[in-house]
Amino acid sequence: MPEDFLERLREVVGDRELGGIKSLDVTDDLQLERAAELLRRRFRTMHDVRAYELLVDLAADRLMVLAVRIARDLGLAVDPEELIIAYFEFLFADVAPDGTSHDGARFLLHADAWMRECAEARVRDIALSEATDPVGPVHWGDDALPRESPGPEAALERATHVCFHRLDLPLRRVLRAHQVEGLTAPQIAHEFDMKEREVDELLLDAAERLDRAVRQELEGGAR
Amino acid sequence: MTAHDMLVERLVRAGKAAGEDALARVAYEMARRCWSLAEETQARHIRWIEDPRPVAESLDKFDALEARTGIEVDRSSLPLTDPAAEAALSCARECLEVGTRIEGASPRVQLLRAQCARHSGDVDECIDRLEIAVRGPLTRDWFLTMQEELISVLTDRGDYDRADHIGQSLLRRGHHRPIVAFNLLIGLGWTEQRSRFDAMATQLEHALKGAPDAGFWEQVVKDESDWLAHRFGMDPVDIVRHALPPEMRRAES
Repeated sequence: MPEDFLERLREVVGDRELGGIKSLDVTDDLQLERAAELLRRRFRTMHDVRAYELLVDLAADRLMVLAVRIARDLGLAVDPEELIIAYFEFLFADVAPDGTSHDGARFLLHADAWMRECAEARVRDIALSEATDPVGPVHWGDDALPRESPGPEAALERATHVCFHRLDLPLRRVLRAHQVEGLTAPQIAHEFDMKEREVDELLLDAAERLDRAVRQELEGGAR
Repeated sequence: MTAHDMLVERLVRAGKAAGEDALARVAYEMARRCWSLAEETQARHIRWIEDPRPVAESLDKFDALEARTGIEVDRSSLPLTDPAAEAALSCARECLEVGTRIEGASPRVQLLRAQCARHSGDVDECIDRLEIAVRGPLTRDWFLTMQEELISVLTDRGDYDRADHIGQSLLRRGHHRPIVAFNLLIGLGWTEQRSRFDAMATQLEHALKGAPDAGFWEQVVKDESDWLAHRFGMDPVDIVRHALPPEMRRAES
């Protein structure tokens, strides 16, 4: 470990709070969990931003692994980093009374559940949004700017993004693994415990459905 | 800088920005509650001393977010112990300053600042703020909300021509809302333009159908029917009959 996280943890929470923690290996979930809970509680009760910063430093890589897993499981085609950002934004801004917060829950468990919920909501929101929405804010006033239409490439990109998230989960999952992560059919089969033939069929089906849906959206939008 | 360092930097920055946004939201919420408390009473002593919980709850959040973001607010300017309505407005203005520092002159902040100015009697400042705000850019909803407020305050001040000009423009765009039509009707009353009464009463009747705040405006029309009848040289029953949809006319007719 390039940094002495234990020393930094001691500086932030103090010897008394540190209690029996004698070592801190952030690749060990149990040790990370204990340290993260101390920091989270200190930030929450003392509003100590150093505690927040160290918590981010300690947990970022582990949460990235969780976020990648969640995006893969749910077939979410956005950068997994967005999920971690959303989680830390939530932690920083959450001042709800303790009864409604996640006190008592384990940090990693909570982060995983929260990001999973966030990812599900993101998939739902994208799927329910207009596939051919114009980009940018709409202004409306006496000297309002005209409503701009997206260029053909942007329209295609948006329609593809939305239509992808409207696909069924199994299709979305394999297509994402193939197109976004660049995994081969054997790797996908291994990842999701499937047969290669099943993966091939799903990939073909997903590509056809996506292509058809995008075409329909764009033709509909052009009418 | 490693990839880890860059990620950590982004996450810390995002967290702090979210904290500032939350602080702006709480400040706005406090401002809105203070303004609302000040508006609810005409008396010097207002309810927030008797029931300060809503403001105090916001204040707890405010304290926490202030500490986390490091954005300091002058505590003396949050006069939670002063029972005067003016103190509530002063508190509201101070909170809006905090909001402005964080989110800039956002439409909601601009509107509430204008409303505070209006409530404390500075109608000119209110109009100035609204006129600046409507120059945008604004979303359609905010533009309309600002224009509605502008029509209302211009009518209150007796500037009927300008209110009429803005209101007619909104009606032409298909924006039929009771607040617009009613204020224009009041303007016509003050200027005794009987010839335009029928058209405007029809607009109001149309606007009231299905409006979410129809009940409120129904009562306002009934309360003002004597005055309107006097200005237009009509019978109050005719005012109600012309300006309200059939289902709202019963009690007065």
